[in-house]
Amino acid sequence: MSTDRETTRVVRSWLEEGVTRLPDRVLDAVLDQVPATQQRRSWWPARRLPFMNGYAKLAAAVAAVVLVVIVGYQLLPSNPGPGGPATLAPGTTPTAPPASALAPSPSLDGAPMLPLTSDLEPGRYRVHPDLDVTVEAPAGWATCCDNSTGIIYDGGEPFAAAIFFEEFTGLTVHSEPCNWDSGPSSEPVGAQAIAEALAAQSGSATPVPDDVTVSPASTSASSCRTTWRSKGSPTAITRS
Amino acid sequence: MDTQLVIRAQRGDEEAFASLAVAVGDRLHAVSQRILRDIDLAEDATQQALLAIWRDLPQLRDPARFDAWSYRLLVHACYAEGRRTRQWSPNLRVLPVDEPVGPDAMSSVHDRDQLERGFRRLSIDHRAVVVLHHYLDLPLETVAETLGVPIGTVRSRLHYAMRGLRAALDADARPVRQEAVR
Repeated sequence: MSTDRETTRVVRSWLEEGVTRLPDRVLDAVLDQVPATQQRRSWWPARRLPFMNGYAKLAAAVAAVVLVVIVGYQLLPSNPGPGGPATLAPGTTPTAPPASALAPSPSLDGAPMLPLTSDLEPGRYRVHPDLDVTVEAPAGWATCCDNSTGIIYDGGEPFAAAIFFEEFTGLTVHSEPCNWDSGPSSEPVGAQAIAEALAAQSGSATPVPDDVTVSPASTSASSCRTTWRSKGSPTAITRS
Repeated sequence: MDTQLVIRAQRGDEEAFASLAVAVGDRLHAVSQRILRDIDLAEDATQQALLAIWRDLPQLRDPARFDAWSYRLLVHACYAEGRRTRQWSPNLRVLPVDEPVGPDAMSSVHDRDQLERGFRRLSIDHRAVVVLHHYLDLPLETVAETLGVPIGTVRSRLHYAMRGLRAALDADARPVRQEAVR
């Protein structure tokens, strides 16, 4: 029977074996592709939130403001409703394969990319260049970021509400949204999963949902709406 | 890592990126090879990771965090390669039949084969934690930051992985058949 220490020693020794050098041909292949590979520029301002400290997180944990997030994934694997697949509405960007059942996506109706400036005009913004995800920002909200993470927040110092979008995975929902750097998180795919993850956010940071409705067959694609109230302020996530 | 090099590459300096790729290429490849346990897959993963580094470098806000950030991209590339080729062959090492092997060496070879089998049974998630912690010597907190998961998850994955590897080592040491399985 091996002890834990012996196992660790053997595993470490075993891991030392093997290749350690990248073949030149692989490096050459990478460097050959670099000139043709465009760098993706950040769309958020190059500064950190100066007030993202424990106090801010605590403050964020006890407050909520009106926030409406409209998530519009067009390419969801979903079953069409009883009426069969819907047709694309005029003006909808035809990016999905024909077999997919689509509903008009509100996220693509001319929503601009989240601007670089830290202050936002009220309205809907696209938050990710590759995902059809939009956020509707109330008046007075702003945007900023941490490393590889876009943040939209209520503009206060300390802020009272915030949502985070992580670049690598597209969208990360933090179960404790004001404790994003150490709390658990998930990477839901699809509007329904996103809405459910947001509705399930826990901790003192998040208002308790008082209504969650997911009705995949109610539209041509899938739709879900999560509504909760905190201090009288409704918050909803809708995907249609 | 030379942060000035990172900053220059962030601004689109291809020569700076070339220097960066040379500097980190070996290390990234060593990690991907140890996670994927396949030379070809590891080369593909490293190549994809390096290209992702170039593509996304402007979005790295703190150049001092380049190392952890690059490992994260590499692990994502390993996930992608792992998904792309789920059907891996056992790829056990070939042992020459007539090679004289002493008792200690036999035990070592046997351990390695058992570890290889045990490691391949782990998911990429678990392998990544083992490699980042036990090969790169990263603290668990850094592993958690690198992988973007809570530290509790890292501890859990490491515990599960090491338990599996220990079970593999403790498996009955039947006589090693000196054959190639591929």
